[in-house]
Amino acid sequence: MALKLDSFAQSIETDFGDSVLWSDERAESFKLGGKAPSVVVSPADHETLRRVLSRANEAGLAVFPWGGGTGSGTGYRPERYDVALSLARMSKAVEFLKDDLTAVVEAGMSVEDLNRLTGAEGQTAGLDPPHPGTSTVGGAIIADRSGPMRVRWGKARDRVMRMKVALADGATHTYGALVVKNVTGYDMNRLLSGSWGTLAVVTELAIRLYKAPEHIGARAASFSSTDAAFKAARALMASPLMPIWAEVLDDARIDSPASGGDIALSGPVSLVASFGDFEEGLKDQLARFEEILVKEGGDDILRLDDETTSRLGRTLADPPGGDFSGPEVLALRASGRLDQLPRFAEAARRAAESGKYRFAISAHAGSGVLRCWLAPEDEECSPLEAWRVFNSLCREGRDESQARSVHLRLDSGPDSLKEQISVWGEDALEPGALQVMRNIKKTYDPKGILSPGRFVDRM
Amino acid sequence: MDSAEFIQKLTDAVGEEFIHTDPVALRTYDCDGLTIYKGIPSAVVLPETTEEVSRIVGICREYRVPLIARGAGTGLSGGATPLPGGVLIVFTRMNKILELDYVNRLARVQPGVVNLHLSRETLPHGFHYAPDPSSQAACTIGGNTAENAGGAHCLKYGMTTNHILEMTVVLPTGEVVHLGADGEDSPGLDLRGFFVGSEGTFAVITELIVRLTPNPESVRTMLACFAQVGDACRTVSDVIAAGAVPAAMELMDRYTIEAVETVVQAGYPKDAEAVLLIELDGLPSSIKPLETLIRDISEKNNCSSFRIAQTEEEREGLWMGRKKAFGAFGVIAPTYYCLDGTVPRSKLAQVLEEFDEISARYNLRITNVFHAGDGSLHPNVLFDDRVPGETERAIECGSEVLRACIRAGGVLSGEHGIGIEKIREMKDQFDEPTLEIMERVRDAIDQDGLMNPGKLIPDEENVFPVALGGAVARMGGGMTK
Repeated sequence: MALKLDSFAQSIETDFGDSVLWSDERAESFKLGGKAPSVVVSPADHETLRRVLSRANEAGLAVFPWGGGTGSGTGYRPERYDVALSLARMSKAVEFLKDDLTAVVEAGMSVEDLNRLTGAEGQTAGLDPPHPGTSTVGGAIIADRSGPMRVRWGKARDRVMRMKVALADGATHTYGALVVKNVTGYDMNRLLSGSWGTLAVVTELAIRLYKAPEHIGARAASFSSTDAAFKAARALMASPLMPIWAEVLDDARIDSPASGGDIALSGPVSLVASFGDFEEGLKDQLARFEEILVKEGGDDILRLDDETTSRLGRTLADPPGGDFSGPEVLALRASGRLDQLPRFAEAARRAAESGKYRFAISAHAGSGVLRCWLAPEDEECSPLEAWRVFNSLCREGRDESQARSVHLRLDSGPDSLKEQISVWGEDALEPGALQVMRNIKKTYDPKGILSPGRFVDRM
Repeated sequence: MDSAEFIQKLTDAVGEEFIHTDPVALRTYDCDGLTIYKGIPSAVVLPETTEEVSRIVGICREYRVPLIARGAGTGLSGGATPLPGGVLIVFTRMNKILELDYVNRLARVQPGVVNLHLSRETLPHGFHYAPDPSSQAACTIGGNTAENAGGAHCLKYGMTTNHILEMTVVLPTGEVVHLGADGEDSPGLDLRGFFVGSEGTFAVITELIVRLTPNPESVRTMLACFAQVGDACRTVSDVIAAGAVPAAMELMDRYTIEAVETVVQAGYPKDAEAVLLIELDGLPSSIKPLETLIRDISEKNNCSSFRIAQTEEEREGLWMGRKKAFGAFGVIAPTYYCLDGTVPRSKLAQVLEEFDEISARYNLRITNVFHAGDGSLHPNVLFDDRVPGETERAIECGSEVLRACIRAGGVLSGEHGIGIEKIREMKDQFDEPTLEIMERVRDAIDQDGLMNPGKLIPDEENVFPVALGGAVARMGGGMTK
């Protein structure tokens, strides 16, 4: 294999010049599951990338496409890792069709740069993965990293109008078109979105945009219990109001560096929601949300101006940071019906207690998604015990079909834990569905060189 | 194959009452809304449960007989047209709403539930099912899902795919699996998203969990009239460029107005070259500034009149014209051919000019009535099929129209699907490698090639004749889009 790698790298260097980044130091920053790649290649355009991929495929080298690396903690430890294929040099805007509310960009563009590009014309892509300054547009789509704003703009995969990809064998495909309505052939964009680099490498994306609201603002309130905060959130979602995001946060998340001290509430749990509209509409929505907060028992109503709302919106998808950083921290995620959120929150609390962890909670309260972070309380902590408790309590009391429908995932955590559990929650998948996924993977990547061993079922 | 044995097994699976093999009965199911292609199945089965569907799929697999699922048969691209000799699974009996969960804003339904019936049930509780194809009074949610159907209000609310949370499907192996979840996230590849709109070529849908949408607090419907079609198109483009998202924005041209006013008198000015029917919904405080914005843009683009419906009756009248437009074409031509190419919204004026040129070249009138807000066109080629050669000319004219859409950066189909209708033009839309991967992925899912073969992907052994590659609807033939 070393020989193949050497000849691969040399041929790339000879033919494509500075595409190969050799230094060990550089390779260290492309680690996955503690493994560094043997070679880092960073092509400047689709054609080069496609040819690099084709050569790696001929040599049978394992290739991991790499955007900003913000999702590198997710998934199983790769079984092989030869080449990191960085999109860092493919970060340009290709075309900004502002009248069609469409931005065509290279996949390596950061989400923040996309926001800057579209924001200048008062438009937004509504993408909010964690760490938007580092996170790339390609990464956000290919990992379907949908944050709090999904309640207003939908999931990341809903943004894709057209996608240009390179397959493992170097073939180029373009899926979709610059239209907002399209049922021409299979929806390949949806198949690729959320495939975590296992099917093809996305190099260019046409993203559907929306007009950014004229004015934004937010309101927050404390609640005496998670149940009460989630009940208020459900009341909000059953109303005609249209939040941009609606988050339930516990004290630990509010006090964390990610919140930047913008929500000064007494807790123990808070509901905070933002709205965007014309001036009159915004005033109306905020007033009516305040009424809901009061009616549902909220205290200490906090009124956030547009600047604070905007700042908070940019960091809500981020993990808490501070004490909740590091390789031993567990980042867990549960998704289900809205009324299951209190159960998920209680499962997080009891998982932390059983595993000897401290915990922080943040939930997309209008979307039924809860995220929690568990930081070791002392050296005795047990990640497996915490996972088991979380897993069983999230599904407790549900009948078989509903329990299957609760989706649990370990977003990041120690590799030792990943070896013992179903990281992506694929234990809930029926064998037939898993087999369909394997068949599709084999069709796209017969030699299994793209991101091997990392995704569901170590596919 | 022992046909008698095969039919007996199907009979055992669903019961004697719920299988048709009589040629007269089978003829009832020989096509969907695309009436030019017909196929007589060997049997029509009407299952009641997922388990029965699984058994049917297993039997078809054992005897290597193709199978096709059918909801109400309102599709316009031939997706539910039977393969001659195949088995047609009809969902008339699987039409129950199984669960309504307003707390979590979702409904669990069987695939045969009629689209509008779900909203009728949920409206009094403050919710509705948002996808609204024009055939919503008859079409089923299962069929809508297989075709990823659209509708006038998907400009704001999205296509069917945005409203399907989970599907129970029977795979070609007969295995029952659940795709997606009743929450928003599920593990692995997005098979839910990939199977929606796959036109029955991957699996048979037997149950769905769909999203319910809160009813809007207020609705404002307006009519802007123009002396030039180009001005109406530019109004649409400008409204979109300004970032306004109406709930619906429909354009009707002069021929459509003429037909509508002759038949239903919707109150559209007969001297207008085009009208825009625009609907806003939401909080009154949110839609008021939008109303002003749209009026300003319309006036900037020389609208000759701008009217806002003041009563529910007036609103219904304005919509009546739009909804009856296709039926009304009968007063100006005996037959029409409806296409659904879609283009970027900034290209509307340009493609409509091209349609005029094509119309002149073929000496056939093309009318336009369409979902302008999302660039989803419905050009209708009007012709007289009693005149020798005119049907063929209309079909060629339709192909030209679709190619014009592709040249403008658009696509063959925005909401009707490919089916048999546009299978020939798929090669104009996609290059060889892209078509090939679609075919290979289909083969990876349906390894025996028994799921609705001959649809969506062109191949050398297409089962249906493609010499006449277009949908031709005779008046009164059920084509009400």
